[in-house]
Amino acid sequence: MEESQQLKKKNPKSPVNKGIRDFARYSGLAFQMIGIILITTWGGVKLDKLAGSRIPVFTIVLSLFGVFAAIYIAVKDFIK
Amino acid sequence: MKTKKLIGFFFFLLLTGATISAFGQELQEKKESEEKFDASTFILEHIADSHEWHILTKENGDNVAIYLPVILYSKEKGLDVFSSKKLADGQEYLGYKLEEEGDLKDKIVSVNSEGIADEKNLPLDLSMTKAVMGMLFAAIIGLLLFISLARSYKKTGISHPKGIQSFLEPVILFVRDDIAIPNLGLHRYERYMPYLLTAFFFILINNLMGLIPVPPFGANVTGNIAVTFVLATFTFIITQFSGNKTYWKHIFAAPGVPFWLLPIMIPVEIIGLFSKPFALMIRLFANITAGHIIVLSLICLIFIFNSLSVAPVSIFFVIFMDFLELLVAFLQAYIFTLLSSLFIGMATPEHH
Repeated sequence: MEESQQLKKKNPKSPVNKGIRDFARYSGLAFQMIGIILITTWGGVKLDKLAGSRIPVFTIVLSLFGVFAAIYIAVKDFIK
Repeated sequence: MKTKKLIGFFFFLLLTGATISAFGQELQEKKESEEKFDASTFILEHIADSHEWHILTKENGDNVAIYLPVILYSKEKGLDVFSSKKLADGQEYLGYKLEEEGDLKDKIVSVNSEGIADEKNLPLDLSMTKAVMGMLFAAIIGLLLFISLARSYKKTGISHPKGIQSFLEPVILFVRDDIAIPNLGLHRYERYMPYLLTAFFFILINNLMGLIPVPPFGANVTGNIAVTFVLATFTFIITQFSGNKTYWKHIFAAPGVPFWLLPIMIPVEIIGLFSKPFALMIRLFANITAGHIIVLSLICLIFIFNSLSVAPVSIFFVIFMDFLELLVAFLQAYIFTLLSSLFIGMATPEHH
């Protein structure tokens, strides 16, 4: 009991802690965006190969979708 | 204060001056010595996983290495266990060969009676490679540390820490007070402490072991993408299994999103689930690998210039980088644990 009171006193939401946490969280944003765009585009290329169509529809649609998804997820994480 | 700043400034000048002159020389001499010493192959071989633990090459070209066990399984031949010495220098053994060139470089392939490699049916390679041995050593070190820690607590109870206790106790408390509790809350943090502490110390021990260049240390474990992939997968699985109703609702029926947008938003949210551990995996892998490459490149400078006079500069920078890597070792263990607990915490939001 005494211990948990002691822990509460420590104030886990101190500005220093929050700063480091935010830094850690945003430091992954770039990798995250790259990952999303790469995976969706790669999927599009694969699907186009499977479909064998003349115009790479899947690549175009999925890569644009990837860019949209990457921006959406990055902004959503940023706001949180 | 002023003198400190002045010393710092001179130190900075010294560093930049040395780098500029070093780069100038490098450009000039690179062309000449390119044939003599291939730095990139040397570096890539050192950071990659391998079936043998290379120690040194003698002047006559003989290799001194620890040969690790090879464990192979293929449908036709069944299970085979033998020392990797049998495959050294391109030898064939039991119809297997270590490929030395091409896309399958450093992979074990099965060869037919004419010596042609079968590139389509690769045997399942379960060998104890360098990274596996490194991990086992890390596990042994971790066990020794923590069993002795537990014993000393059993003996003396909770009193002022002594010996190894005084080093490990603050670190464990740091993981609890600064990582787990702020992100997971006072009521739930205890459930995740075993995983967070295990991940933290596993990454930390492996990072630190990677900095020591002599076997059994020096395997680039946390700079191996398979290892970071598994670690990130653990975090991913734990996050999904601790996700509560609110978490899943935000994914499959995000509040405030019109229903006709849901077919687009649900895939986006699902991609978001996977992209977070993906970033976790890449970060640890990239940071550790980059550190190793920098240290190895600095050492390679001596061989690229082929002169002893570069050695002091190179060694000075290597020591500097090693200290930086010491910081990175702790920092990456901290960030991995912090983000893991953050993701788990985000999957279990308290009602608001």
